[in-house]
Amino acid sequence: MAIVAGCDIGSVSGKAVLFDGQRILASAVIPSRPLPAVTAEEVLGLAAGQAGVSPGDIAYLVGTGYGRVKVPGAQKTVSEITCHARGAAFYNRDAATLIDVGGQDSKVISLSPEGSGQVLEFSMNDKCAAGTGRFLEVMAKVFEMPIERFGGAALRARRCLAISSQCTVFAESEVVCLIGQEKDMNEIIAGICDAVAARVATLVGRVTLREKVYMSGGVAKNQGVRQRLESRLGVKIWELAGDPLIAGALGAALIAMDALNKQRP
Amino acid sequence: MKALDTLIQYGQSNPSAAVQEWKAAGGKVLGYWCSYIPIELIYAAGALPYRVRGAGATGTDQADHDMSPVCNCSFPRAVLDLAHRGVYDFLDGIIGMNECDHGRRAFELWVERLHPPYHHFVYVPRTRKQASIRQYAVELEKLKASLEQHLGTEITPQALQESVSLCNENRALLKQLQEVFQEDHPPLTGTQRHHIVNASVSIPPETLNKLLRELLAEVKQMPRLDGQRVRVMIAGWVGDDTLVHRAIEDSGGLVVVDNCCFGARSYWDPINFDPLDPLGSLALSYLSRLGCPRMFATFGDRFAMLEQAARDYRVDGIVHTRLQFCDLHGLENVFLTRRKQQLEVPVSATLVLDYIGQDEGRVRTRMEAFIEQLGK
Repeated sequence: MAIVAGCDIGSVSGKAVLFDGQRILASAVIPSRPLPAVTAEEVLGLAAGQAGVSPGDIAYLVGTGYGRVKVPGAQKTVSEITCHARGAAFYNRDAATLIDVGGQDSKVISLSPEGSGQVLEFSMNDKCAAGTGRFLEVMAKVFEMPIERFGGAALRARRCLAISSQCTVFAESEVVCLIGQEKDMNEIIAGICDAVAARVATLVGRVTLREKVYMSGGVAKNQGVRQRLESRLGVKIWELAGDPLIAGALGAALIAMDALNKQRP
Repeated sequence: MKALDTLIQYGQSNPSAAVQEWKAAGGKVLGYWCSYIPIELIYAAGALPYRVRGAGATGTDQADHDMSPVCNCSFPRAVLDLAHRGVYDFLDGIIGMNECDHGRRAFELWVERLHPPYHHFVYVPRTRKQASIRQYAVELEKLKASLEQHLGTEITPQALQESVSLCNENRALLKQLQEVFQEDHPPLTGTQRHHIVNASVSIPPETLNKLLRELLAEVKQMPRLDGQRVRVMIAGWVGDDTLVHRAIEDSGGLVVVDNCCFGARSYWDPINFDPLDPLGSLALSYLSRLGCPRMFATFGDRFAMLEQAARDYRVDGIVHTRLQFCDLHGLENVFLTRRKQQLEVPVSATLVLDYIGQDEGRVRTRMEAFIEQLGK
């Protein structure tokens, strides 16, 4: 049984998935270190340890994410757009549109209808952190609140305060002002989630929106952003059948298995 | 040195050795801002027309004293910054126009801050109506008179006709080179072609004709590129930079054709010259040829070119690009998105670029993903 792996080095976290052709053997997620190669080695080592194998047992490794070219030993690199599409289709074959919101990139991907994970078209954020996980991180620091609690706080809000600045830095000043005015904290957080949703909704408008719609990436776990996005788009956003954070690494592992099968006589 | 290497080297230099030789021989060089300035007039006056560009700029802090990085296009800022740093001190003058407000302002700041030895502003109309063509002919009369006075020469009808013939030969040879990319396995990359086109807007027309003829002979003997490559067309932006070409070609693509300002738009159509109405015919021809979105109601022409070139060059996908804060190409994507279903090939989401430090990783990720999407 050959083992392949996908390693997704993002700006916030490194993800690895080990796959045997049928199922996910192990997966790991760690915060990104300053050097992508170090992140890759650590996260692959962790996943291999979980599966009870050594990294040397990996027959084919595909790197993806912004640090993809720095993954030691990767036989191939593939963009995160292609990998997320493939991973999402593995979880849910009926995925027609995938919204991936990661640490520094947001992308909206239109997938082919037959469930292969083929990308039909995509849009991606421009050079700006608004509408990404980084925006939420900056705001969470202002509230001295773990980012995991952000979504829940937004859901508890009775209304959503408007954050009008598109720039992360200006938006942070705006939030500080709202805190100074003693506005309800949950309502401010709901406004922050809505600001992210507004930017992502703009990207959705650049591709043909088809249902069912799914979300991947770390921000998929934020129920506040998800709910605001559903409200802006007027569609239900479904939860992937597996961990949305590792969809890119999983897609890379699936592509690794394809490449390995091609190599075999 | 082979003609290919020479042309690529000229395209990468700002200014090139060919321009330095022209200067050393006592020739004058006049910078111009945009492809709507008839270079034939400048050359007929005995000066070398040199299209100013941002090649070599590593920052824009000098230009940013006057222009804002948060709302002004990075291309004119890069050009102005190079002027501040003395890169364009070899120019004997500068000719500006109203291609867009960012470019026009950068020209005005150049004149105001740096006092070039000669400057002239050409008002170029934005429509192809008869009144606009007449008005542009009047503007060209003013440019002609200004050049004659500054250079102490007379632009005779014969000199102008010869200049048009030379420049049209440049365009025809560049078009021949372009058509080499109709082959399944051409011998050149799109990145190489882009360097050659950059050279073409800045070296003496005779030198260019000679080198292009040699290159077309070399091309017949050159080995062909191997492998199945995704055939891409780039549409949009004004840049002379090659990052997008390289990002596409490093990912397994090949830029077989473009519809860009530093690109096909400069050589796609010849200039039709009428000796009985020299400036009127120049005005008509310059306003009518494949142009940029600065001209009203010309999207249809560019779209028709995309449709035709996509077929002629068997294009697998079109990459649409624009510079951030480019008003002209910024809204072009709206029209393109509305009509892209009519094209037989996928069009990418608009790739927004910053001329300086174009955050290579971001550009490469998008281009890699687009090539993977098109797959071969």
